[in-house]
Amino acid sequence: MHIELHGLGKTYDGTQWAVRDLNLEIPSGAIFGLIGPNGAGKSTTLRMIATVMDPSAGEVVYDGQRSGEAQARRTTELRRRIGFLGDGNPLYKQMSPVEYLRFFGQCFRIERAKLEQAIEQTLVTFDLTGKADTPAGALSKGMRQRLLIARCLLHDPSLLILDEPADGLDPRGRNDLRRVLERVRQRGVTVIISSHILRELDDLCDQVAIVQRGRLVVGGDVSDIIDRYEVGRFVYELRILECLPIARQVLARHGALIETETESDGLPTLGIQVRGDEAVMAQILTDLIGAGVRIVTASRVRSRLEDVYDRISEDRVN
Amino acid sequence: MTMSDRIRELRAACLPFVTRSLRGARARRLWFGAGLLALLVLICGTYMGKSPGSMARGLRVDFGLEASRWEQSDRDFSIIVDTPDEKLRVMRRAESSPHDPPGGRIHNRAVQGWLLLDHVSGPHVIPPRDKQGLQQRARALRHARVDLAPPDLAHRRQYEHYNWYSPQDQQRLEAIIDAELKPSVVVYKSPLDGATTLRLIGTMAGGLLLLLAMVIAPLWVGVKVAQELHENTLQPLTGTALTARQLVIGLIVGALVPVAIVATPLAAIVLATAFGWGSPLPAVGLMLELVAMSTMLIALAMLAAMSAGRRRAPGLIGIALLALLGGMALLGASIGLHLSPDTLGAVTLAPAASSAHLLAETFFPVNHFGFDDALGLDFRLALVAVGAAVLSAIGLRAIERSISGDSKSGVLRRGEAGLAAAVLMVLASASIPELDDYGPTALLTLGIAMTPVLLVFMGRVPGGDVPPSMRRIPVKALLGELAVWCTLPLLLAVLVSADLPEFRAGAIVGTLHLLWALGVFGLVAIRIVALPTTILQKVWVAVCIGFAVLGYVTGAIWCFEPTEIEFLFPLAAATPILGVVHISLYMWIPVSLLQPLLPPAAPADAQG
Repeated sequence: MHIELHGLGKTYDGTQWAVRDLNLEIPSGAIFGLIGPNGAGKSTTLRMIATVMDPSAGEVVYDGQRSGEAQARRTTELRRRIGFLGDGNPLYKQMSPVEYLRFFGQCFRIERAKLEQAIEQTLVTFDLTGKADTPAGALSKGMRQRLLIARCLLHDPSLLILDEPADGLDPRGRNDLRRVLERVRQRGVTVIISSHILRELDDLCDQVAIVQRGRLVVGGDVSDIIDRYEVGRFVYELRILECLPIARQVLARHGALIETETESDGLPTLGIQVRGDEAVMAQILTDLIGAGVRIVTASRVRSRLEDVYDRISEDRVN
Repeated sequence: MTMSDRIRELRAACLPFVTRSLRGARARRLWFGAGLLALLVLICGTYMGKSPGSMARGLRVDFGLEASRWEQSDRDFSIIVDTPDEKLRVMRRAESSPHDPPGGRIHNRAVQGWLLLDHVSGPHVIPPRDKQGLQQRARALRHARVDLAPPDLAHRRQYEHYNWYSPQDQQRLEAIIDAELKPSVVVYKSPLDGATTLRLIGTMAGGLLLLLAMVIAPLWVGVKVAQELHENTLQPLTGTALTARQLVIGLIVGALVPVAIVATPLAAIVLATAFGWGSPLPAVGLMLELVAMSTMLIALAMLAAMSAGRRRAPGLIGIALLALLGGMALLGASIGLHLSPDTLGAVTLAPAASSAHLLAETFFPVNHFGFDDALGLDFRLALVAVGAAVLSAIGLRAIERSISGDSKSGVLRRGEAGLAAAVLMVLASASIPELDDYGPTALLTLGIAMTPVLLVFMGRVPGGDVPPSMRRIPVKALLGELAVWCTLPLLLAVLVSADLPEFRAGAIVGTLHLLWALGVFGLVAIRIVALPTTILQKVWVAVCIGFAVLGYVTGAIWCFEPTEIEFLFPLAAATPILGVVHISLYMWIPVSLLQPLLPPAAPADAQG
């Protein structure tokens, strides 16, 4: 589903805009990340796209079709093509995953035989087969989240909207989520996802938009954004066995900025910011080794998208 | 859309919710519980109707189904014992001596009988002419059994009492004479026959059915809807293939399935016993009335849950609904079970009254209505059922719009709200037994209907997902609608009344008071729906309502009673200062309510 946001705005009290003048275009089949601090207007934007909230200004266009006032029937039709997982979207705690999926499948009027097949397939896809008959209240948070996403995809929507789906998940849960989203991408579903976990969206999203105070700060292809903002800085972590003073001299010669100096497992560890691409870092490492600095590990610690975000974000909450 | 399409749509709406309600072993458990309850009703009914036990007897006496044991033994000049063994013991004791020894039960009973004969045989006692033969027989028997005279005769004589005109006393005396002062010893058994026991079973099942329909069903649906809203589980459902209407139907049916399963055997018992007893018509009426009233209460409970479900916990809403529905059911049942020609109009006000009356009419009919009253009552019962059905349909439409978010021009359309208001006015009007004077009738009707009419009026106020300060409230148009509705009772009253009273100048003052009060009521209703209120504003709204009620009463008095000018503003009658306060508030209240409802001078500007 192709989505266009034209001058989208929302005010809750009539005096202050939660979202204002948001213009975006999300191509069909893309995974689109919506990034911003708490209170930036991400959830409000997603709710408006999901048609569960009316915009105070502007409009959302779905495959060229407008949704808005006095179009209740069309909105209902549209909602059937959308899978929306809002924040605070709880399950019926007494229902097992099978019962929950069957309930929603029947609400989507999926034929009985087809529904049972879809439930079985979904349980496998979302790795819930072992807990098929366990009450949802007894599932782990990651499992519940997977079940909620499974519910959103049961009726085969062309747009999946996930509001902070990784919130509260442990690292394993986040990895599971990534795997699920990869599978969804393969089905050609347009995915809009909001998250604070930039590192997770970095190589998953085709496009991102960074919003602050309800306004779009930057949006578009991830690589385009990085190019546009000329982010040529990478952050690395170096664990050094010996010759720390020499390492400092070499890094200074290359213009690398030492951000932090800590200790890890008894070894001095430097957090450095390097101007330039990975070739520059390779040269720095060569020079460090050449100067006799004994390096145990060298790893990149921040993604490029995070750099962009850090650079352009004022990181303030509305 | 054809009928089969409609059935298919209905099935699609109900299937997920019914499946959810009956998932796992729930259906089996519910049917088992329902069967158990029905069995319990049958056992309890049979026990209460037939058991000779003291508890069952006590219940029968309490419910007026039989006289107390003492009254029975006194009436029949008998000694009632519990078992054949006890009877044998009493008889043996009496047979062991020529006369039951003093202190024995037969002897004591005989002495009591003799004392009554002694009382009625006195030379100073002059019975009515037709009872003189009876007195002669009593006198003869008294003299024949002087041996029964107790030693403290003079003392015990003063406690005897006999009324020659009382059928009970005459029956008592005849029984003593017929038995020749030899009381019979009988083993107690329930005086109720099989048919009465059947009616008892039907009444018990009907009572439970009434409880299920009037309290449990609306309460359960209301709590379930509140739960969906509070836990935010309704929102994902709105994004499914079900329309808002189907969702409303599904939510109701899904929540009602357990109640319906429990109710089914009870309804079968009611109908079977009613058909067996021979009063099928009131039973069928009872079922129709129950369905109509229950649907209306379900719609009301759902609306209450929809309006408070997001902010208040479902448990709290449940408690409030239980108090409200339970109170209404108790009030309705007490009215319906004791209807008289003076109170028959009340069936149109209390939702459970009509059903309770029909239940009583099915199993224990009381013929104390004349033809006109019976006709009036039947008309009102039909009116209530139709009115409830119309209000239910309109209420469900409001819920549907509320769920779909289609409430920018109110959850009720103009025609729907007008129809609901008209139905409420007609029901309020039908509750007033005397319709002689059009003016007081109109004002009383309006007063009775005011609260529900204002609730309907609230449905006309634009809502939806629009910031309050950005809403455009058509205050003038809305107040115009309310004014049109309020003329309805006047029209009704004029139509059913004979003469118009003479014109009085004071009526103009009264009319102005009434218009002011109605305007304030309308503004308060709009204000409550359209704008959020702080605690202080809530207090102010309550003050406004208080003054509106005062204004309404003042207006009514000025319209129909000659009143002194100092009562133009009633508080002025107390002190002049209070009078000034009253006049100031009369001006300030409408302004304070209207001001926040007016559209802002310029569109809200963005900040941040």
